Amino acid sequence: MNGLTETSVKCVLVGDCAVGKTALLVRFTSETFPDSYRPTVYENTGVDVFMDGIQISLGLWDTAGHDTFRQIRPMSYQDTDVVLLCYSVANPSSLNNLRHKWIAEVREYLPKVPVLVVATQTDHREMGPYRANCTTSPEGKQVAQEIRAKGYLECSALSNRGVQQVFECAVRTAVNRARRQTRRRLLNLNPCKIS
Amino acid sequence: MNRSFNKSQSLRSLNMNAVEVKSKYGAEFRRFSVDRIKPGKFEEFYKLIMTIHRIANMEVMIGYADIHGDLLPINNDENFSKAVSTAHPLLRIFIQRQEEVDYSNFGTSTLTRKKKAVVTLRNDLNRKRPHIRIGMPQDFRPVSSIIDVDILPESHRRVRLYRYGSDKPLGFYIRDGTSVRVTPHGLEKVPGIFISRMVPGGLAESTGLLAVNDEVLEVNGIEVTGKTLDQVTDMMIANSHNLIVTVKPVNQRNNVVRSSRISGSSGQSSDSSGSVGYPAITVPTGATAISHGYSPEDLESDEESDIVIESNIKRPSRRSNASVASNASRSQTQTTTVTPPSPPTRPQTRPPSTVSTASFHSQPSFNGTVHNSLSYKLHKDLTLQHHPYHSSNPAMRESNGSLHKILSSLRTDPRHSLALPRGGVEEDGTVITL
Repeated sequence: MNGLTETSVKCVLVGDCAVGKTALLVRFTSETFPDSYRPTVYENTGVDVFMDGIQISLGLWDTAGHDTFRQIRPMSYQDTDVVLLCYSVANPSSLNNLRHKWIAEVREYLPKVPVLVVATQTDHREMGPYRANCTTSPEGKQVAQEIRAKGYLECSALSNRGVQQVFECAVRTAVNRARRQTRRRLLNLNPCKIS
Repeated sequence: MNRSFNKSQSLRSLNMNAVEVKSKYGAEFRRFSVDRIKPGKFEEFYKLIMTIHRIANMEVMIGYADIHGDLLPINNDENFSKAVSTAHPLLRIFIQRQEEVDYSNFGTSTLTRKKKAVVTLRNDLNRKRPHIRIGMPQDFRPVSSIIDVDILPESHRRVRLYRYGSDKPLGFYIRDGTSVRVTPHGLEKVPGIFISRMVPGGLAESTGLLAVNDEVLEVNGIEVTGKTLDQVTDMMIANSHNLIVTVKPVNQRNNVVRSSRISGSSGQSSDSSGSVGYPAITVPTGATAISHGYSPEDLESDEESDIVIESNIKRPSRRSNASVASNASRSQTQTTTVTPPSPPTRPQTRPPSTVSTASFHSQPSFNGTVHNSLSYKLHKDLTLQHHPYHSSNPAMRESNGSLHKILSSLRTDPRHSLALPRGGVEEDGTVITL
């Protein structure tokens, strides 16, 4: 994060392969949906958003969920402001892996960075072969609480629902944290104000 | 109410392909219809909305309620077409000014009931909540990525950098350097291009994919081998807006991990290269050992035939052997080689007395000893003279030099020199005769 004059936020998406991390980003940035599935290795995109009249340069890091690229992934973590832990409602093991695998890796490299849990592919709850096996919102919120996430969101990149909300929450979380840190720093610099 | 209901029925009876649209802007409602099969482009629909609601010189955000009751945006041809095709029984449109749009209303479960939506929108218009809102993303741009992981060796990385805008540079510098490659002839040093510096806060540093001392192998598919630093620089500048650079990272920890563990094999290969190098170093040592093997034998054969002088020659020869065995490259050993000449001086004082005793007891024995000594001395000199010509080994040459030094020191000894000349022998004979 830079100062208020030029604000930038770095957001990293992690989670099992094929849960829809890239589709989420593509839907948000270009309002389209990927034609076919192609495993991501390392993708870094930039986009500008406006919040309360302030222009924020949002850096979006797409990572590989596959274990083949597990040693490449740490390069994505430096200077991250917010992490989106993604799982698919149609894949219960991807939700389990958030608490058993992904939160541990993120905390190893980013001990204090805020984390959001994002449920993807919610369109499978209404139609499709995975309907009966989908995880519910309470189950997702339960995991979000266990891993001390700052928030829980649901979205479907395919039907374009909740996508904007995910990144709004991500930016808000990062900006609020930066403001809190700035305030704390000011208080430390002026201990007289406390008394 | 009844009238509007009748209108709706009449519209449906007129054209089954028409989709009724109910549009709301603030407190204003409008009804019209669009063709379900051919709704047209979003741009045309946008203009139609502006005309119907008499909105001019103002940007608005168009949202619609889908069949699940979710408020979704209409902002391109794709979602406009989907909105029209899925509308049932009619398409409900909600229009807001761009700057007043509250995107938190978009998404799942935001329009459970029509009333709730209306109330929410009204509240939003009446009082601006302190809720933080972000606008639609603008200026989307790819920044960097890793590509071609399936066709490159695991120790290489192909990085794609997109330069956004003409004012910002790529953010790294390159330099000349030397890298080591494994060839059929062994390890070879070849010129290479390396990343020398990263601009703080620049594109390359922020992406985290390149580092100082990474070796540049290719630029946009062209190898840099055999090219000058300026040429590589020009290649990068020419492709700066879409640079694809293949590097061999100095840090090999952030690589692809394949199940066959090829990286482990490459490690072993590196070890075998090292082991190949070691025997090459050993071979000269072996050759030296072989030379060393011959020289001591020659010296020992001379010593064995002369019992009386053996004690004198044996010690210097041992020291010369030591100098042969030592590593020529070590200066300390060379210093040690200089020391041996002084110790042999002391032992030489005893053998002459032994010779004197022998002469008193037996004249023939003394004469025989003297003759043997002279003949073998001459042979030794001839042998030493030949050695330098046959051997090109520096260590061997040095040992010959040290032998010469030892012999020179022996010759300078007065008593030893007395034993060599024939005049000395005659003198001893005269004494015995009396």
